[in-house]
Amino acid sequence: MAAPELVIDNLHVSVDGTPVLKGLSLVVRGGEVHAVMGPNGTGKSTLAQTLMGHPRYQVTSGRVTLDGEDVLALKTHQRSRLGLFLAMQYPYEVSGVTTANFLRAAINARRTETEPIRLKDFRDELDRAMDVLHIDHSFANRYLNEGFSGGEKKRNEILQMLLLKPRIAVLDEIDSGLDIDAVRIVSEGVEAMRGPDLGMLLITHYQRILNYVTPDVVHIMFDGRVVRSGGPELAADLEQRGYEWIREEV
Amino acid sequence: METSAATAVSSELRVRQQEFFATEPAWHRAERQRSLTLYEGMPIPERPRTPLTGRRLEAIPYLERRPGPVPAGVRAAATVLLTPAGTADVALTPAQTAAGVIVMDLAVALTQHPDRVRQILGQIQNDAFDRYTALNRAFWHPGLFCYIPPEVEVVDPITVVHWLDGESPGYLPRMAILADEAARVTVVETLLGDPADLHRVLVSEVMEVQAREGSHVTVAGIQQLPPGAEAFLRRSAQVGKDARVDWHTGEFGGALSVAGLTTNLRDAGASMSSVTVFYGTGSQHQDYTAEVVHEAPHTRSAILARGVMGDRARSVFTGQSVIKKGAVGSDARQKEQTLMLSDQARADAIPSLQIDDNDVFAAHSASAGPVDPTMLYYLESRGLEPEEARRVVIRGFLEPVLASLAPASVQERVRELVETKLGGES
Repeated sequence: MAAPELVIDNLHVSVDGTPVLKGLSLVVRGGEVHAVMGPNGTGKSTLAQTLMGHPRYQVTSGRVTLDGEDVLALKTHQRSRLGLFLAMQYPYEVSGVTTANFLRAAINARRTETEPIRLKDFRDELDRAMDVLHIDHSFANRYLNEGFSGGEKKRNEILQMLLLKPRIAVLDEIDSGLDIDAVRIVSEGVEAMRGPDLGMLLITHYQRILNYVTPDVVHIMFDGRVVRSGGPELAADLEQRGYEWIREEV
Repeated sequence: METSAATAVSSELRVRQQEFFATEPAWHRAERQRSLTLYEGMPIPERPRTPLTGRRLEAIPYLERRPGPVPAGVRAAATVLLTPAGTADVALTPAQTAAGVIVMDLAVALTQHPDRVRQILGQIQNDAFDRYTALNRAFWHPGLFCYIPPEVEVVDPITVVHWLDGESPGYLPRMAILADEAARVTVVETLLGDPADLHRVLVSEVMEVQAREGSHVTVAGIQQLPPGAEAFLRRSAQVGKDARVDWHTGEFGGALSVAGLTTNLRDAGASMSSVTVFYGTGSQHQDYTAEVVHEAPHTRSAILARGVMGDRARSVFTGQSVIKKGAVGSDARQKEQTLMLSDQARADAIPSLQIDDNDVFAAHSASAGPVDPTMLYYLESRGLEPEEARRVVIRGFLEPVLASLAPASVQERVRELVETKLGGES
């Protein structure tokens, strides 16, 4: 299979009738890590949720394709099966469903052409992924996110990413609310996935996680658009100068 | 003219009663007659959230006896089979018989074990509770009597299957379970009928349980009545010193189910639990009451219920915990939750606590709400189809309660019934 390619072209999105994204364009390819940074309220999470098909976000114009397929024409579960993954900023708690059972159902949901995964293979893969993220194996039998701490929920998102093997992953503030050790562990998980078969969009407010995951491209978002793109040095610039200079320049 | 018409009906009922029960001991015939008078004087119960008068229950000729066939598989699966025709032969294990366990037709027990029967029959559940408890006492048939001698542990559950035969318009079974001191028993009761059988049948069941000092009685009931059934199910227990009664209930069938569970914790250290899973679809109406009365110190109760209402189904769950003065150190908890799957489904959860002593612990909570769309979105974002995501949420909602159902055979059966409902839900 060719390397994945996500193309976002002049995307406009409204939330409850208010325009939030105002002509955003980006291309992410396999093997690349793109960091999307910007001040609060600038549309970063809107971008993430729109890509996944959250019903609250209305696309008013623009195009999104993954490997040439029209993403916006697909339902949420079809986007997932096409290879899109969103690690959510606020993962939901699902009572009564163990993390292991849920993950197995999710893996099987995308194996429509092949046999369901064998229980032993699934267990082995799950154990390996939990080891990468320093997650206690007993976690697998706990109800999905129920009673998890903030850090545990974020690690669980990365665990899901490791097992579902997406082609394009969007990580929405995966580092927020984490202490520095947790940021390091999550970053190791992200680094473990890095390779030509996966393109990543790392949405973050802070530069901190970029000390552990070096992006290939950094985009700065402001008022619903990408206003600057550059190399890792752009993130370092932000670290020193804050977001104010962007506000003044645009 | 009206008076004479009413008298005519009444005398007709009396003639029937005499016909049906001519061979019973005189003392019980007198009880039946007394209850018939009660029945005639009582109105159809008024339940604010369960309108009954418009259902024309009186139009069902529920005293007619038209026994129909029983499928072979139904008969084979049970320790004892009850049908509108009567109580069929009992298959106790040799070990149960050797231990002195009695499981027999209650009508026979009236003659063979009158002293024991009189200690329980009509003693736990007041016949005058409502029109349908009075009706049951006046006309109960079939009946079952279970007696577990002191310190006997019945290892295998006693399985009782009620088969509604598809012909009879009425079914009025009576159950009496007496666990003597330090006895242990599990009774699994299934109310069963042909799911394709749409004819109206009025069901009024009364079950009485007495758990004497140090005993432990588990009663699991699975309600899979046929779709035309309109049922009044009363289950009552009296729990002695340091004894325990656990109710495990799965409610799935029938057009109407008014199910009431009352447990009296009579002596110190008595305890009860009630776990209910209910699932309504179509236009089913399910009305449950779980009531516990703490009459003595250091008594404990836990009422737990979770239900799912789909289509135009309607449920009412009333939890009632009463702690009487002097029941110091008692602990009463209840939690009821209902998930609504459609805009037309309706669920009411009504918890209540009535506490007359200070030195106790009591807690209750109740909630009813729709499936959270953002939770569905989260699951769909991992590739689950919308329908599958919905099933995952529903299963997950019921799971913590399902997992606590006992015995294992009942838990398994209830899981199957949940899956059947999930598959057929529109």
